[in-house]
Amino acid sequence: MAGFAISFLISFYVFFLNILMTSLGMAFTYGVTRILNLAQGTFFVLGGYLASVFAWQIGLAFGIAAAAAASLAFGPLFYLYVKALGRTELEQLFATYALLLIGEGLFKLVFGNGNYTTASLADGLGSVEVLGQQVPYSYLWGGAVAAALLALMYLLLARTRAGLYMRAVRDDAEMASALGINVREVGLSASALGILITAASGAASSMWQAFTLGLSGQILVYAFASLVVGGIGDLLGVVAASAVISAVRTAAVFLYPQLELVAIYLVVIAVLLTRPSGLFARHARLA
Amino acid sequence: MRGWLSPIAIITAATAAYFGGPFLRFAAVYILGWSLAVFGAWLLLRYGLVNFGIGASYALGAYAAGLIYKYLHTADLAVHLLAAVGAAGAWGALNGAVGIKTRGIYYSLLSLSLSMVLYGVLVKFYTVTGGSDGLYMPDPRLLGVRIGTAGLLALAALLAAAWAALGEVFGRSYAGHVAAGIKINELRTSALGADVGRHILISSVLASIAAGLGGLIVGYSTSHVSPDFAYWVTSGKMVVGGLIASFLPWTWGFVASAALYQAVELYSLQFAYPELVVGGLLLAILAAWRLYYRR
Repeated sequence: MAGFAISFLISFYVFFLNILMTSLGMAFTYGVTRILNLAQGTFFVLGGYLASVFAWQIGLAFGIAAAAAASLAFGPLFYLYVKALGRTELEQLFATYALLLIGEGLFKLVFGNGNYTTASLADGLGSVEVLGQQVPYSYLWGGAVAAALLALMYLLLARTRAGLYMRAVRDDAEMASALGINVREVGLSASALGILITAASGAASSMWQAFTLGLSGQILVYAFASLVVGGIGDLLGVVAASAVISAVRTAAVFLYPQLELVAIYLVVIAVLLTRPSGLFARHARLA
Repeated sequence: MRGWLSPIAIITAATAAYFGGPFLRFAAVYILGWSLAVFGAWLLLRYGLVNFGIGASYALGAYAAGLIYKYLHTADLAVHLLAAVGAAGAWGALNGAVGIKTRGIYYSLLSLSLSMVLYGVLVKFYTVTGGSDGLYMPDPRLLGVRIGTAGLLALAALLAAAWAALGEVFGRSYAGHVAAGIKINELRTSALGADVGRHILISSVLASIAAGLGGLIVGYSTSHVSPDFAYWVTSGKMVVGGLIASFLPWTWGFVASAALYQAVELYSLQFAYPELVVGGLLLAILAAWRLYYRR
């Protein structure tokens, strides 16, 4: 029984980490800029590809850090791209969808059809035995990265002036602008940060995830699920939502594997119908 | 009056394609079938609803026929059409009924989740649905006779023409004006006396039926249906097609945009990196639209 419980917990933790990492950056970007980015998965995959390439040259930790740093430039570019092409939500969807396709094409061009991962390097980190089950250290390090990213985002949003501006823009961009906040600059820095977080998460995930073509789209729907359940743009909500979704999905896998995919989306639908602004929203947003 | 030329134009184009050789015939069937799904996405866009799950209806139309063939062993076109309309219509009613509560991106995410539920069922319950391999789609028979490519092309053209006519009626009707009202200001439209929920429900059903018939035609043309029909990327393509159609001023815009999208996708396949070509084209369309819009 203890063996079952621990293997359930490990599976739960692994998927929780996966889904949290895919949705953190997206929650951040959407919260401030209101751009629903269909290409967010692309930046996650970019981080994973880059980390896998760099890690073989300069070692695992440096490789992951370098991948995150290399993707920093894409944030402002992304913001300018979307703002130049799309004023309405529909145009933004169109623009980011085009970006998703272009990203897939570029990945094929640059990285080819192979699987990219740092799993074999991460294996070298060893594992720790918990009640008779081996837990690889790579997952624990992944959890540490996620916790560090969350802490940084929290500190930024709650404790700094830039974070104050971001929260003001999130709540009401027009009012913030009237009060003298440069909404464009805040949007630029927020999307840069969101994409940095996404790429860093992707880079860290390369320790257990193999990156390949078509992953951008698969990642995206998981991220959507956790965003909806947590309340779009709510960081702590996203953490809790990832836990809820992972618990439901892991239970489905253990009890009735056919329902693996279905269970996740049934949760999403239930939340959308009962609490459209998310399970953990403190105040419901109108429209 | 000119709008009524749309159905005639579609049938003329299909006839021309018939005499253009076997490849054009196949392409025309595929494009006309796919255009019906684009119609579904376009219709909902008229209400300001971005349905990222329209592919589910598309899949249901084809799966209805595929499952009937697998379990009841009938390839009768009338039975298949009825099943496709029934399945897609019921799905549209479900989508509309739950969608009424949500708007904007919440609607998009809800419809996406609904379609992913169907996708999950289609992939995971493989003993019934054939899993990720999908199902075989038979050559349809009308009164026991195989309708063949010519018959399929005629069917696709008639269906597309019928939906173009419906689009024309819709554009002139009370419902069309209500749709525009809902898109601009839902609360005000409701205050003016329109039953917003009912309008959205009915248009969801119509959009879903259109997409379901489209899936049926495409399934017939390739003799195959797979869960990819219900995957959100498929829906995304249809929404993009619907968006391009809404940029076009004609009632047959949905066929034109489907033809454009499919032609580009087909053309892109000769390159090693087809996504770059399609993505680049979408970007060009959007940029052109933005330039036009600024003036």
